[in-house]
Amino acid sequence: MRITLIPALLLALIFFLIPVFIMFYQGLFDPEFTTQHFDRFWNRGAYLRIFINSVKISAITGLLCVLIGYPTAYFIVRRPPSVRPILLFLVLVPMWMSVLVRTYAWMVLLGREGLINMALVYVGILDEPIKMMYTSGAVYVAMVQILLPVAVITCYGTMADIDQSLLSAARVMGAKPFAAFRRVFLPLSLEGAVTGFLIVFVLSMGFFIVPALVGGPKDTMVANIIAVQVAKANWGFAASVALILLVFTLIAMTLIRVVSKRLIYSAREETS
Amino acid sequence: MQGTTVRFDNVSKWFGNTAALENFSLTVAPGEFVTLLGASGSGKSTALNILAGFSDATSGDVLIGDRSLTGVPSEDRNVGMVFQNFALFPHMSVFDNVAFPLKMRKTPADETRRLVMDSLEMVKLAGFANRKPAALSGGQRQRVALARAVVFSPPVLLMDECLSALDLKLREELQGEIRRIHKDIGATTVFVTHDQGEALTMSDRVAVQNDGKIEQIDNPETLYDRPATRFVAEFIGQTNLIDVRPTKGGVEVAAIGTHIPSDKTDGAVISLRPERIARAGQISAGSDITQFNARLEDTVFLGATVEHHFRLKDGEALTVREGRSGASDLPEIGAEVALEFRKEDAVVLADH
Ligand SMILES: Nc1ncnc2c1ncn2[C@@H]1O[C@H](COP(=O)(O)OP(=O)(O)O)[C@@H](O)[C@H]1O
Ligand SMILES: [Mg+2]
Repeated sequence: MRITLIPALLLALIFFLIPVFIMFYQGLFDPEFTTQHFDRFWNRGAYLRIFINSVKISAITGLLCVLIGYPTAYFIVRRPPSVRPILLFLVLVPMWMSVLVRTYAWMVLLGREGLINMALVYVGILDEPIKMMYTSGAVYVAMVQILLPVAVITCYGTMADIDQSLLSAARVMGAKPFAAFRRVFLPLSLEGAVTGFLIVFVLSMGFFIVPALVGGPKDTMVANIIAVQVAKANWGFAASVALILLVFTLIAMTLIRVVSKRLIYSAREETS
Repeated sequence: MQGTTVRFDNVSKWFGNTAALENFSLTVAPGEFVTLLGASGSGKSTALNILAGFSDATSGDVLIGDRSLTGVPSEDRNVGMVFQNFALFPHMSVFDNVAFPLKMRKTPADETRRLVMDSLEMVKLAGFANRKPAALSGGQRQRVALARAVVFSPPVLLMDECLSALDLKLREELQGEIRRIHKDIGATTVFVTHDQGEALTMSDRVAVQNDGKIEQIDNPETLYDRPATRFVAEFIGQTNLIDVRPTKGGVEVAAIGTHIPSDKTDGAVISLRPERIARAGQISAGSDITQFNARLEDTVFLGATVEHHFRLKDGEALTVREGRSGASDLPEIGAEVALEFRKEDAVVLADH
């Protein structure tokens, strides 16, 4: 191992591994070994419901991001090489703003007196403002907007690796544009879509600003439980919920990876 | 299978304000093997891409048979193509790669199987049908690409620098194989290369391309023996270019002190192949021979031949090549040597 890696490893140890260890410890010892925090999580239906709701919101956000991000990445990768960096730059620009700022921006847009309502009423599409803030819809809109660049970049990564002459080859051999896409491009880029979904899913599971600011009471997510419990100094319970989140995410990622490998493999076999 | 005529009719292609092709006209006869030869950037791929339908001409038309290809998408042109980087589908087996054009044409499964296996047989890869391209060597991949390009018996076959990624020995082997396959299937073939040796050995005719224009199109012998322009003379093989002055009925070669008859009134150089110059007395009489003296500066052994570097009396360099049989009585370095050539072997060229 190279000596230059040691500072990085130390940093990871101090700021990542040790806190994770403390989290494990606090979740399981209070002060003696106990499962009371975990029991509390499983036995109160509300916590479990919030957890399942988080999974649902994250999965839908992941799907939406891939559904929008995949075609966007496809559009970019099919542009001439000189244009692609500019388009990628435009996709990335929003990521330079903090999630908090972007969430507040959505509050300004979606509020009862917000820009969208005012514009729709002004144009005459609406008679009076409708409720957009504090709904699940608002949560999805904001989360997708915030996480979309991640999906675009992941999809773009695999697409850029695909030799573009493969598509020309498919065409000249008799494939119509859609057939060339479905039989050559799609099977070769599916992996990027799955990875994009996974990253967005995992990042979504940790979101709490967005549901807290633009969502309604039904849209509470796991990270909100943790935030509330930390605020109440219930360290043990907060740590155990964080642990459950961590373990769940790892298992889900592994499962989706395995299943998607199968899917991609069979999609490739089927196209050939 | 019968090949079809391919015709470029005054095709131009502009990228911004540079012309990749300019007034490009070329007719390839049915079943003919024509090579586009030119340095990198001379517009060879541009011509092929327009023919394959990957890009549109700025002006002019391309025809296969009597049919104009303007507005016809690639998939409806019925041409086979071999790409420089093979362009095999990495997620498909060799069999499925070769079957792809048939699948797109909705060929029945049993016929597909037969045609694919015939094609693989032809390129000697019948035993590799179930491999993925990643498990093949470069030469094998190129063979699969070739099988895939001809499996549906296209009347027109295009190949863009398809051998340049391979090493010399493999390249020579595949050159022969492509010639053989071309004879078998009779498809009209447009082959692209920057390698003049490859162009000369493989083609019925070679179109020498320079800056988006065809300098000369002829069969390999004519191209070598009677280059039409200074560019072609220098690009094909090795040659001596000697400055001359036009006079009545020909040109005056001051450096040698001779007159070469020619119809050209704008002659500025003559091209003289090194193997067409001999030591005095070696060329049999009967033709119009000119003799002159030059000083030997250096002799280089090239295996079967030796190459002598001479200096003419006005200081111009002259290269002469001769077989090793005459090498036993090599002249000494620094000696004045009497040389000769047939006047008909000197090609008079304009300066452009
Ligand atoms: N897509 C393109 N955009 C701009 N210029 C191009 C493009 N494709 C080719 N060219 C230019 O056209 C000329 C001919 O290119 P090409 O046909 O690829 O040459 P060759 O195949 O003989 O090496 C080159 O100068 C090249 O830079
Ligand atoms: Mg090229």
